[in-house]
Amino acid sequence: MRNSIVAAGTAILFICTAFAASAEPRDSVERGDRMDRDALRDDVRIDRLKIPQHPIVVEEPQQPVYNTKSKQKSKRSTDSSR
Amino acid sequence: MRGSRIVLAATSFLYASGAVAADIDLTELRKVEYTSMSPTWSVVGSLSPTYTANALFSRDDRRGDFYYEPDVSLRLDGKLAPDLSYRIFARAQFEAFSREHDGNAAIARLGARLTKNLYGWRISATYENRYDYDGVFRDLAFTSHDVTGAIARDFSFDNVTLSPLLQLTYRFSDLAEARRWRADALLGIEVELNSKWSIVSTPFIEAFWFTDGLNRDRQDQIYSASLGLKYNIASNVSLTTNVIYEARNSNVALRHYRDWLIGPRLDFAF
Repeated sequence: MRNSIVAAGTAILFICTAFAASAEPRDSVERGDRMDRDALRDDVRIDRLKIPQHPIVVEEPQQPVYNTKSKQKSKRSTDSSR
Repeated sequence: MRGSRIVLAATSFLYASGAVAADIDLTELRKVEYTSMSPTWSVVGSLSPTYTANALFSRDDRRGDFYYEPDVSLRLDGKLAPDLSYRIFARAQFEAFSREHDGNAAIARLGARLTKNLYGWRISATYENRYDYDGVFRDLAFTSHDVTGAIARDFSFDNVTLSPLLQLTYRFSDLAEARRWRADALLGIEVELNSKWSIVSTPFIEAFWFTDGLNRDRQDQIYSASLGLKYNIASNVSLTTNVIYEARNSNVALRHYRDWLIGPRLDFAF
């Protein structure tokens, strides 16, 4: 009895493994392969589009950087002209 | 009294402004390289009805069918430094077949990418949390964590743009059979005919090394090439009609297949 149970169990395990090994070529693991390939090709094409970018925070316009040395110079020249 | 104070304040403000304006020497403004560091968002994607000669990736039972594939991403892009940018993204994609419903599949991804510009090359590291579904978001087949390193660059010569990309990915997954290394090498080629029309092509090589479960020691290589005509509808929308040939070799004979695909693809960015 015990031997027949072990034999049946082994047979079931063998059948399950055989089915898993010879599963339909398009199984879950590779279903997404074509989409991955398309995604990479898409990325190359989309990168060539002009992508509008919507800022989350609107930045204030940049302030000009002043040359402080010239400011001092101009002050001095004004002083000397007096 | 109050009125005179207001007038005094206003007058002094005007004088002060005038003094500042006089101190600005516009010819000596220092040139500063300015890069916006504020994050921006965008929506990009594609829509494509396609005919495939082998819907189920089968070696012996080749079944042709039409399928529809939308692919939409929401991106948040920003910069950490002038040459270091980041992207956080969510992406959804599915394939819905007209007859071969066993081929229906969907993917949802959430990820982040860090890209460094170095000597004109874009070097990036990406993490992607990914959900693969059987059917169109019907049954969750497995969940993965993809870690990718990539290097890419654009080269332009006259009216030709070449975009090579090399990348290496390892997939950690709750399904042992899905764990694997993947290497990709592709070359985006675009030959601009005029401002609206271009010829495009993408030779593409993929190699897979499966590491666990029933797929342990399985090795696949997929070779594909596309050739198409692209029409720029607007600066942010283009339509490309492609013909693609792909073939898979594997050390598991059952996994060999070849396929032809043809169809238009609308790419958009908003």
